[in-house]
Amino acid sequence: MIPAVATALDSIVGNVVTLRNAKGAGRAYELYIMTGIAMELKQLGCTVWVQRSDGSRIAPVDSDRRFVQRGGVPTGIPGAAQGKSNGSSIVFRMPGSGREWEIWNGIKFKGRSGGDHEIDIAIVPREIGITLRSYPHGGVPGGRPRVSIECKDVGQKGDVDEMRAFVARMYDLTFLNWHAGKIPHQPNPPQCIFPGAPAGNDPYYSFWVGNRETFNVVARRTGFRAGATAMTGYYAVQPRGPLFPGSPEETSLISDLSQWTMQNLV
Amino acid sequence: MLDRRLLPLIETLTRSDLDWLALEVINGALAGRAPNEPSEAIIAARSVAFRQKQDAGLQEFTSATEQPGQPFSWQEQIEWAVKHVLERISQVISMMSASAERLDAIVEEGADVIERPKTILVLAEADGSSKVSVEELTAAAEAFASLQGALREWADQMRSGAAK
Repeated sequence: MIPAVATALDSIVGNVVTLRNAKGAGRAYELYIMTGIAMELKQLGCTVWVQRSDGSRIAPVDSDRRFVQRGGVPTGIPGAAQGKSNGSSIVFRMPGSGREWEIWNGIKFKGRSGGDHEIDIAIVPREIGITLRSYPHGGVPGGRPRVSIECKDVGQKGDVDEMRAFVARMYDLTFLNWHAGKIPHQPNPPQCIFPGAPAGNDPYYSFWVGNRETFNVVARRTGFRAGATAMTGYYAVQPRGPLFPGSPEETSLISDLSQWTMQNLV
Repeated sequence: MLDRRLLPLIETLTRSDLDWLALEVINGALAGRAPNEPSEAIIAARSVAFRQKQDAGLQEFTSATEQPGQPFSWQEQIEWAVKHVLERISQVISMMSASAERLDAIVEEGADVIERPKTILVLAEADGSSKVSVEELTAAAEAFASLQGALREWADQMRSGAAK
């Protein structure tokens, strides 16, 4: 043991207890990117607020100003009746249209196979969140978010297998026109994301089209190994990294995503 | 092969409940230097213009081929480990601080509130929650200088000739 290092670490970890959690650093990374997006959207004219898991808005005078990230096994959206201590989210309202969207962190989505996939940061129509929170025990959304960000806050650079995994996840989450009537858990008429999707959420014509009508990112703190991005162009997965506080990749992701949002989520 | 001079650092991290960081130090020291994907390939891969050309068959992807990493020398393992631990901890503190500030800015927009509470960041697990306040993040950032000094002093001792 190195006593001076131990003393300094104890002081840091004693204050930031999240560091003791094996996933604490990763969750901090997700929250950092999520709040960066929200702040940029606010700068661009969106109305942005923070929402508890029961759907209530955190007000400036509230004594309870906790922002909760759920650890452990990922879940769907909890019901409002289950209280306000589950995962928090961020909501934004587009200027002009008034359309509202929710930014979720660490929520699982059901794919066409029936398998669940955690998306680290997802942007979905607010109606999906409202519908799921109205169920007594909440529920798992199905389909594909308009924005999906896989955050990798790990020590090593990302390899091509990581990209394969993300492409496969997106493939399973993409509901297509011709799946109508073929997937038991798909609503009728079929939708690209459900339940509760507003008008205009028809399923995609093809996986290729779905990739291009959404914003899909693998964001990595440590960047990518040579060869890692081979599958990304065709599948419209945006590699972003090395992305850490103050990096050019952070600036470009936040800027590009916010611009895309202002143009496409109207 | 792992430089055994890293073992006291690994033990110290584990003792401070930073097992995940100890594991990263071991894995990173063993992995060595992995070749980076060229930044032009990363930027091209996410460009709409590139994608459109590729869709039309006008451009092929330019990703580098996969290559094995170069192992670190013994001394490089120590230097890399110190840099990694410092980077990791400072980045987590700064990311959490920035997130708390942003959440406060979002919640307080336009509000005329003099006495107000601040955001608390909570990571909720089935067996309990860890809560971190802005004040605690500030205290951790202040303690970081001690960590920097202690780790650099240890690395200097290792560099000045402690046996492998």
